[in-house]
Amino acid sequence: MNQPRSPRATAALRVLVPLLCLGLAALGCGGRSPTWSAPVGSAQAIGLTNAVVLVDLPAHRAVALGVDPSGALAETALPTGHGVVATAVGPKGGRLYVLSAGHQGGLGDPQAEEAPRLTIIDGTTTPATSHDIPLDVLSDPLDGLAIDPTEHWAVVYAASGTGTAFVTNPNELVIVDLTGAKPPQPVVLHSFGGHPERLIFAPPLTLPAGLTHLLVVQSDQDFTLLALDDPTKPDITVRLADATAVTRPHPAEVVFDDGDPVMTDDARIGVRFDAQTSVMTLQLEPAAGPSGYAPTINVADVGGVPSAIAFVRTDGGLRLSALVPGRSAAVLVDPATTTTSVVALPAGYRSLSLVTAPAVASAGAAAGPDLALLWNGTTPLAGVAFWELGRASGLPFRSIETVGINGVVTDVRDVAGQNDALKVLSTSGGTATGGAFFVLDLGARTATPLLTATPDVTLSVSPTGARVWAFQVGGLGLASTELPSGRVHSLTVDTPASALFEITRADGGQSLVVLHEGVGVGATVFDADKPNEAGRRIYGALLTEGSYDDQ
Amino acid sequence: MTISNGARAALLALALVTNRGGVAHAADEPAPAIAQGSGDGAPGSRPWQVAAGVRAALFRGRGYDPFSTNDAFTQFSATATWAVATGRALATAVGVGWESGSADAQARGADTNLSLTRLALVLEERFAPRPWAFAFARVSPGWLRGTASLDDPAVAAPLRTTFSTFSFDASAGAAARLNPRASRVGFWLVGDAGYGWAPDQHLALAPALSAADHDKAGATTLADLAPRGVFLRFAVALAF
Repeated sequence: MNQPRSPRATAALRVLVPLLCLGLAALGCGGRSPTWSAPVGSAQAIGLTNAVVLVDLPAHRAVALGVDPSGALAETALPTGHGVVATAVGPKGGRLYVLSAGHQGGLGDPQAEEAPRLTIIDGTTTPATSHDIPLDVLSDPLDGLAIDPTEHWAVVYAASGTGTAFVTNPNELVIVDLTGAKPPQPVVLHSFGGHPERLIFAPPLTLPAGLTHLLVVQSDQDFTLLALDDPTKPDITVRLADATAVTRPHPAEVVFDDGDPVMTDDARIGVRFDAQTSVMTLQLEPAAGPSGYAPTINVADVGGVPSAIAFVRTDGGLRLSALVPGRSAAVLVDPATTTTSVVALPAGYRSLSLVTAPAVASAGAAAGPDLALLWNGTTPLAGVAFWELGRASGLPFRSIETVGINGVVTDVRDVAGQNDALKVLSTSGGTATGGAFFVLDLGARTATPLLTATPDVTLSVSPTGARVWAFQVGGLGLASTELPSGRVHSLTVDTPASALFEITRADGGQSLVVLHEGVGVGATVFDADKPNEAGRRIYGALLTEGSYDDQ
Repeated sequence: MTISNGARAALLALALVTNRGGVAHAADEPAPAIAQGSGDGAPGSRPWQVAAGVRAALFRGRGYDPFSTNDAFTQFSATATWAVATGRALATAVGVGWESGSADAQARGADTNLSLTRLALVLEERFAPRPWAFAFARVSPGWLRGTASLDDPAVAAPLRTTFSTFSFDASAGAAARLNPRASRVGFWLVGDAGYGWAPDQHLALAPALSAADHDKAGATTLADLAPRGVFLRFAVALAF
């Protein structure tokens, strides 16, 4: 039988039990940033000169992975704004631009108001650094971002619909001076009902007002030319069809030529259209008005739907060349007179690259007419062809020289540095069990085949031009092919590779960073100059190191 | 956050005792090793005490965030002391303590674990104003060993690191006798609160590769872990 409880013991329990409860309640307090509970997901990986940058959207940051002189991976977390809507790598390859929409809080929102901003991550330094350009001129976030080739300007625009804004003017652009010399400048384009579809930066053109950087805003029915150097100057709109037309040609490709650098009246723009047999040239000539120039339009029919165009210098002068694969021909258009001349090709080619400079340098010859590389043939046996435009007018039938490659060339990659006379060609339709890529020597006009065990190999040319990397997404094997010797070094990683990047170490050497996606992000680091498996280093949980204090 | 099976057993015992209401009676006996006049309350009459319970600490530092969704860290706690009476209501006890526990969570989708084990010397001064209760103050220098791990399938082996360091606890508490004085073994409920200190630990987790591949393991550095903070400890103790 239980004895009655002592009053003293009862008093003791009355003290200890509430203490226990209070203690347990207190231990339930505290916590961590919600970001810790957010999976890494598929972090966007971008290779810059000195770093691989992982854009960590849930954590509102970018993590730059550099390699220190000892070959160890070094992480640098760089904050971005909330609500990243667009990223773009600078054409020079050293900087990443991150556009964020910011945050518009409501009543009681614990998160602070944040204006849209552009975060510039500089991957040319070790460690990587970042700075922000506020975009307070935007009341609502725009979601499009384009960077000009000189990385002097960025243009923010409405890339898709209305985004999160209640009302959006799709013809509103914000010109951002990336040097910081001028504040962001909003510009509203004149519109005849269209809305921008694509932004194209022209190379510097010599116009009556001097060297000018033009932005071509392509809409579904017109072109707008805007001078980035002074966005306050009125833009010029070029309608692609007259006002009575029912159908409007849709631009497919735009090319530029500055003409003679000392002349201010011979800069030209060439345009081809989807499903149209005509090409258009616009000559920018001096004219009255604040812009100081006006386009003169010419149109020429090339007898078939062109697949690629380029301004080329031939023995007959400047021409707009158009590849017409349906005719197995190239058509040269005189932009001044619109007269055309047809050059028969041994096969239909859909793509064209000008390779004049590296080929001339390789041959030690003086600069002259252009040399074009024709690829992406309509048949697997088409290979690639060299087109000597110095003979295009006088001896067109002798201007073509083919290089036999088994398979359709689907991509041509430039090689940097001292090996710039080489091109790396990707092909499709190779061997029955595997694939192949080729190293094309522009000087010797030879193509070295490299066979791969599987057809779906991804290629990555070293930024130094010293080698080309080949790997399969999701595979364990990768290989380095030395250029120009063609020697192959095979490597193996321990977990499936999702991407690889060659970057410059802090000591100036080159390292290869192979990324692995799992629950988090892992990496294997090799010495790119002396690749061997024994020297690799393996890292895991690369996005788990954050403090997330700013959440 | 988890505690060991031993801790679970101790908690179960504590719950059973509380439900049974097996508490002290009017015929109380003195606190362990504390004299209460003549008879069985003589100094040293109950010199030994063994206790088992739960220690719950708050780790406020950000280095703990990957391992727990809150700041709490619980451990199983066991103590054995031997006391000698130093006055009419005072006793001094020395002994050893052992505490062990772990925390589990997910950090950015990866499973994480932090295990801490502490072995310590216990120095305790007891004051018993009543035969059924006593208060005490305790200091406890010790050695703390920890293991942190993170399982990321993106690498071939789990990431892991270990550390060992000096630690120091200071606490104050009270105890109440739960069973009648007539029993030869005293059954006590003990609670104390205090602060446990240990220096910051640099957490550089690396894949747990074989010795031959050890130089291939690159470290991923987390924020420094500060395994220190206020704690509460509750235990059931046997005095004999």
